[in-house]
Formats: sequence, C-alpha cells, structure tokens
Amino acid sequence: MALLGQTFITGILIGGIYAIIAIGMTLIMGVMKIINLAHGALMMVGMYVCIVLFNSLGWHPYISMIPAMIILFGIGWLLQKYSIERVFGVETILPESQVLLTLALGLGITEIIRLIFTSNYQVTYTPFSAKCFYIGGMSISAPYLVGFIIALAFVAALHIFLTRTDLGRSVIATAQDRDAATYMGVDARRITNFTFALGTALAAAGGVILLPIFYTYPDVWHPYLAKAFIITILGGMGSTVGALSGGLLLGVAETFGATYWSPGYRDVVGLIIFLLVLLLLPGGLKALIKR
Amino acid sequence: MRKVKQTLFLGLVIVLVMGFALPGCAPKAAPAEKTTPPPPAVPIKIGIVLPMTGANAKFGEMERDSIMIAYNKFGVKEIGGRPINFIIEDERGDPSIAKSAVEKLVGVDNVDLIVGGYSSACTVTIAAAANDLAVPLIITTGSKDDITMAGYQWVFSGPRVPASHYADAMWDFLDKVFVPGGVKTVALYYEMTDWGTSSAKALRPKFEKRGIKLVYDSPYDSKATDFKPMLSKVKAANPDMIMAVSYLTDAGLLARQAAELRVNVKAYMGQAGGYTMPEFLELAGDNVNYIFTTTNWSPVVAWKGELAGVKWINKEYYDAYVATYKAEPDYHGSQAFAGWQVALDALLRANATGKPINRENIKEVLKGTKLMTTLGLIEHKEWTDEMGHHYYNQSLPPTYVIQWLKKAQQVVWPLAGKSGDYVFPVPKYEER
Repeated sequence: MALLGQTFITGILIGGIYAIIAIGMTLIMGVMKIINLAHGALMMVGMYVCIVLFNSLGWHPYISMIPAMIILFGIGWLLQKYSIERVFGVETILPESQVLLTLALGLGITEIIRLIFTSNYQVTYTPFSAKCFYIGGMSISAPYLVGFIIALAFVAALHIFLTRTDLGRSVIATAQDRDAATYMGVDARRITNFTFALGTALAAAGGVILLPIFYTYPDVWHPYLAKAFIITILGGMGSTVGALSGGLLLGVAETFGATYWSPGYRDVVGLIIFLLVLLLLPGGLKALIKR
Repeated sequence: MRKVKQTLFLGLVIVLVMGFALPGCAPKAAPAEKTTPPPPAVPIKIGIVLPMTGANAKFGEMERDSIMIAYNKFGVKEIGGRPINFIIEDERGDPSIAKSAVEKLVGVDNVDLIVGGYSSACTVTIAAAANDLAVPLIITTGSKDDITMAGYQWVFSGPRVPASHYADAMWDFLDKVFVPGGVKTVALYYEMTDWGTSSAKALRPKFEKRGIKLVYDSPYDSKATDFKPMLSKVKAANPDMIMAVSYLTDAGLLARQAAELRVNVKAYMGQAGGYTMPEFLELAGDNVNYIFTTTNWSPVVAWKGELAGVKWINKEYYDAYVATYKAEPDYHGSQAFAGWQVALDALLRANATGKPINRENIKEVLKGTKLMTTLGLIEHKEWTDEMGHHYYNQSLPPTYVIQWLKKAQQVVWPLAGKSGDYVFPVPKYEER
C-alpha cells in the first residue's frame, strides 16, 4: 500500500512540474499553430539565469524565478519579433519554415550557452533540496511539493488571466481565429509576440522549479521538450486545464510504468499514451472536457 | 629656391617609389644561388573522437583537455621532423555519428592514429569502423567487454578496463568484508545502455557464486529525473546491499532520492562511472557519504614513470588539470591522459625503428606496448579471463574501492594502498 501511495504521490508531483513546462508550449501552439522547438532551450536559459544569480548573489532559485521570467519574457519577445515573425507567411522552399527556425534557434542557443558556461553540470544544491516529509511510510520531497504548488499557482493565474482580462481574451481570440480577431480590432501581431514571450517566461519558470531537484547543462532540455510536446497533444492546444491534466496524467502514468513495469520503460509509457491520444482522441483532453 | 624645393620633392618621390613600390626592380647585390625550398613536413595526424556536445559532453571535454595536458607535459610537438596535429571530431553521443566521424578522419583527414571512445555504444561503432578502415585506435573509456573480444587487429585498449572487470577490487573486498559482515542479498540496478547491461551481465554470476541473492534486478533510463518508483521497489525488497551502475547525473539523483526514501542498506556500492566524479558531490551533497565505489584511478595512487625523457608522477596530472581548468578530473580524464602516453610512446618507438610513421607501423609497435601510465602498467596482450572472455590487445589496469567519507574520496581497498579506513555497515540515514 505504501508503494502504491508513494508511486501516486511521486507521479502527481512530477506531473505538476511537467505541466508548467508544457503550458508555455501549448499557449504558443494554440496562437501560432506551430511547434516551438526552441521551447526547451529557452527553459534551459531560464535555469542558467538562476544559476548565475545563485552563484553571484546567492539567491535561491525560487527568488530568482522572477528576474529569470522577466529576462526570458524579453528574450522571447525579441526572438518572436525579429526572427520568427519575419518568416511568418513568407513563401519558402519548406512549408514549415517557422518550425525549422525554432529548431535552429534552440540549437543555436544551446551552443551559445555551452560557449559561455561549458558543458559542466551546474547545481543549486541547498539544504532545502534534501528536505523531506514522511507520512505513513511515504516520503514527500519538499522541493517537489513546493515546485508542484508553484506550478499550480501559475496555471491558476494563467487561467484567470486568459479568461478574465481583455489581454487574455485577445490571446484566446487570436488562437481561435486570427483573422476574425484582427477584424474585431485585436492587434494579432502584437498578441502573437506577447504570447510567445509569455510562453517563454513560463518555460523559464518550469526550468527554475526543476533546479533545486535536478541539475542543468546545455542539453538538459531534450527530454523536457519531448514531454512538453506530448502534454500539448494530450491536453489540447491552447488549453491551460488541458495542459495541467495532461501533465498530471503523464507524470502518474510514467511513474506507475516505472514502478510496476520497468524503470527502463518509463518513457515508453508516455509515448504509448501519445500514440493512443493521436489515434483515439485527436483533439486531446480539451475535446473530452468539452463533451 | 622654388626650383630647389621642386628637385627635393621629386627626389623624395623617386626614393619612395624605389623603396616601396618597386622593390623587385632593385638590382641584387649578388646573384643568389637557386634553391628549391624543401616541401613542408607532412604532419602526424591524430584523430580524437569524443562527445563534445550532448549529455556526455562533460566527459568528452575532460578527456580532450586531459590529452592536451599530456601533450604539453611531455612536450613532444614533432617526431622525425613531422609536427603532431590533432583533429577533434564530435560524436555527440550518437553511435552512427561516431562511425561517420571515424570515416571522415580516415577518408578526408587521412589521420595516422585515432584516440577516444567514451560511451560503450559509440565505442562499438568507432572500433568497428577503425578496424574496417585499417587505422589504429587507442580506446580511452568505452568499456563494453565485446569491443576487444571481436579479434580486431587495429583496436588497442590499454587505458580502459573491460566492463566486467571494473569491479575486480570489489570482489576481494566483498569476500573479506561484506560477506563476513552479513551481506546475503543485493539489489542491482544499472543504466540501460551497453555499459550498464554489459556490467550487470558480469555482476550477476559473481554475486550468485558467493551465495548473495539478487532480490531486485532492473535496468533504468539514466536520463530520467525521478528514480523514486524504482527505489521504492528496492526498499520494499529490503536488500543488504545495493549495487548500482550509473553515469553522473543519475548517480547524483539516485543518492539523493535513496536518502529521501530512506533506503537503508549495509552498503551502497557504485561501479565507477558517476560515483567517482567530483561533481557527484555537488549533485548529491551530504548523501555521498558512506557510498562505496569501484574505480581504476585515484590521484592518491603513487604511479610514476618517464616518457620522452620527461619524468612524471600520477598526482602531477591531477594538479595540472585543477590548475588549468579549475575543476577536478576523475578516472575518465586519467584514461585520456594515459591514452596520450600510450600514443606518444608508440609514435616514438615507431620513429625509432627507422621505418615511416604510418598506420601500419604504428599498429605494429602498439602490439608491443608495455608502459607505466597514470593508470599503472599498460600492456597490450591477448588473454582469457575466468569468465571465458577472450580479449585482444587488451590491458588490465588495477582497480580500487573508494568510499566517500566526510564528503571526500578515500581509497579503502586494497588495504596496501588505502588512504582511509572503511565504514561498514554504514549508518542508517535517520542516524546520520
């Protein structure tokens, strides 16, 4: 019973962290209709901002999350405005030139970070990283729990922002129908820049939550990009609730797979879910919720 | 006056034109003897194949930097009038790219010798390609047993220890300390690529031979973030000992998460890999304490020797690395340092034969390598171990058991070379 409980708790906590990494991608995918393959690399940049603040000023990652998000918001805006937007709607040899551009940006950013920081593993290990609570033979890691709570807070705040504010509604309107939103007076180009920047800032937040638990190096983002993509498809594009439920589902499924099947097959579980959703539920959990 | 000025100006112009614009027109003082400049010496090209990007880049950089420390330490920049050039290829941790890198080094760059091979998966393809293309290869790390059991004539494995022999020192330690101390069951988990599976295959029968029962046995993905599901199962199996084969990041997380779940055992033993690295301390913090690991190098071991007229001691490599890169090396770096020792020794001996320094002659002298290095004596030979593995051009550097005590590594076995006393059984996490 303790094993079952431990597996479930671990899955839920890691799922919440997956969700915040994915939610930025799902927003961008909803508005721009493209997969942002630089999403993981931008998450990694956010982690490095915190590493620098931790090493130079001794700031805990949870404190440096705010400057990291602001910096990444700016980087996201600039990237969108001066690179991705430039190829939007432009006739190119390859139809998915924006996607390829994000891939190139991701790889380029990775190599720039490697040039500055080398490939060495960077950690922000503090006594808090090792804190644990014990309930009935189960352990709950404090950084996982705090990470999960922060992730939930971000998801809730984002949901309120998107549904209760004019700017948020403009984002949803642009995601639903770009042309119609433009006719209704929404500056779709500006909203797209804003969405990309916001998605990038959220990716940074996800990376920062990981820092007290994990470590970072320039290629740390590869598995998280794949997970964010799976969650985006699973949850449905542009849906905050879908991203959260997708993240939790993936986290729990992976953890149960690792415990009761084999630790070596934990990613296989995610990919099986991915395939099943594509085949049986192409609209993702969002479509299921709407039913 | 005006005419004088004009004349002076004209003279100045003529001098300037003669001096700068028409130097080739100036008559030569004496006709020079017609000589043909000698053709530039063809460099001795050394290919290095390592992961310079990707998750294993850290190891690739350490090995590359260690080769450069060795290159500068021994100061041999040219042999037989031919300068030594390095060409570094990034295999990105991808076996197919590793194979292409060898093909490029041989076909395009025309290298005389290749040094490298970090992960076993990549070293498998590097070794096969080097042998097919008839270029000598000195493997630094990639340790899957099969690599030097394939009968390759062009592949030499001095610095690396075959995976099934990483734990050689551990078995003696196990027989004399753990088994008398009550270790009867073991949980074995290992990263799921060639290195981990090859190691696990060799570990199982040796545990069984000692009557130690495997109560948990599973591969895992070393890139995972969360190992609690696996460790929860291990805890439920209640083993006396954990045996883990891990890379660095997974080793750090496993140590931390085992402490969080309070997976109490009499001994947690890592098989080299990440458990020996200085960064393991950064990743696992206080949880490194009491963890045992096998290793095939330590800065405290007193190996010494002379190469190319330069005397060296083991600790010098460690000090040079720390001074140059502001970081501590581990055995991977020492393997690369020793790799260049073996390569340089071979090049010097090939030159001493009076024959041209080419692939064929380098291969011939590598067969006779018998050299003291930072890993101890390296001797390329053909031999068979007690498991029936038949190796070609394979050395067997000595191994040690290390224990992390007060967040520092201490050699605890063999006792003759110990730098600290082992703690066994280790205290429970709650009591630390």
